[in-house]
Amino acid sequence: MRKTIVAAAAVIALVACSKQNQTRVSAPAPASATVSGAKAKSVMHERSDGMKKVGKAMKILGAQIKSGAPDMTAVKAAAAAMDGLARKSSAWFPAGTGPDAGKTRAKAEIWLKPQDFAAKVKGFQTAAANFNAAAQTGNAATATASLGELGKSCKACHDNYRSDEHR
Amino acid sequence: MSEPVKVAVWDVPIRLFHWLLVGLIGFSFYAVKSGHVVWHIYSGLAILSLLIFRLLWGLVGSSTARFATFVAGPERVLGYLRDKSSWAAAGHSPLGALSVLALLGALLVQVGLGLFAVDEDGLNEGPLAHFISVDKADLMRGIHGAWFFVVAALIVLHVGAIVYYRLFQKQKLTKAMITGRKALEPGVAPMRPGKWWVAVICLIAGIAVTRWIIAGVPPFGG
Repeated sequence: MRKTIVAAAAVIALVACSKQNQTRVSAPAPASATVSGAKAKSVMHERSDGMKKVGKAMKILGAQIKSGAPDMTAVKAAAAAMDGLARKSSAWFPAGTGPDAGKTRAKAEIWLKPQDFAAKVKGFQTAAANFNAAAQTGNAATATASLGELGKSCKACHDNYRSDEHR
Repeated sequence: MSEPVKVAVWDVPIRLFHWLLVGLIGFSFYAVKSGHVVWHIYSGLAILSLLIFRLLWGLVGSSTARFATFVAGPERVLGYLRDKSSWAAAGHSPLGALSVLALLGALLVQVGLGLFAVDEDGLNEGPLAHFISVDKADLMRGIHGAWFFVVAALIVLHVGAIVYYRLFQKQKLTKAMITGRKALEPGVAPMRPGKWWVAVICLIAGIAVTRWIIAGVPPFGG
């Protein structure tokens, strides 16, 4: 009797393990395989620089759009830059580039909730592409109407996955 | 020595100003730390309205609110430091006056910096930020954040002084700021109150100037 129970438990354990392995294999890795060492550092630098460029583009867009009479040449350039950066952003968060790897404001939660995080990145990319399309029409009203969604996509991710600004 | 008598020292506008300011500074800090930048900006603009009100009330308000009454030169401050009994009046002591001026000044600087600052993501900015370049507005945010330490240090000093007066001078300053009344030596003239409708005009002026700044200081800007 006892042997049967042990055997059953072992079988259950094996099945559970294999299931876990299966999900691990089938779940899409957020960007790429785990990185470390110099590669991790270079990704983190690229991410930090990239995010600063995203911020700068957003500030230019905010200043232009909220001025009431935007310089559409500046808006188009910033919108195109934003779209390009957004496309790259999905490669900025490979496993191994979290707080354990060095100074970063990327929270460990990113790699604990990979699906939600990937959805947030996708949301950013969609919003940036939509805004760029709106901006390239050259119509200030169209661009203005589309900027809000882009801002929301920044905030949606930053609220949960970025730690406070270090001074 | 005769018994101290309780007399009026702070009027309602001053007390409301003081406690609203306390609440709004606390709220501003909470809002920005919890990522509610929009609330932080509104709170800062409310503080600006209050500060403008206070400056005007310092010209035309009750006797203890007026800068002309309480601002003391170095001689009176030193005299007060040497001998606390050299000063007896309703309102700010010569030393307290320095604290009031420092706090009001530091808060005006803080609000002024905030008007020109942009948040780090470029999602929200002070109403005057678009007058300066993106890099300068970024710099303003940095100074705004650093200047908070000056404000915080002055608040710590202010609260520390109140604790000192409570423990070593047996003066209940917080209670006076709540009830408006304080035990003073007999013969000391109490506060001469201001007119309530003048206070209302000062408040309306504070809000109006703030609204004008929110609108981008027309006709000078867009």
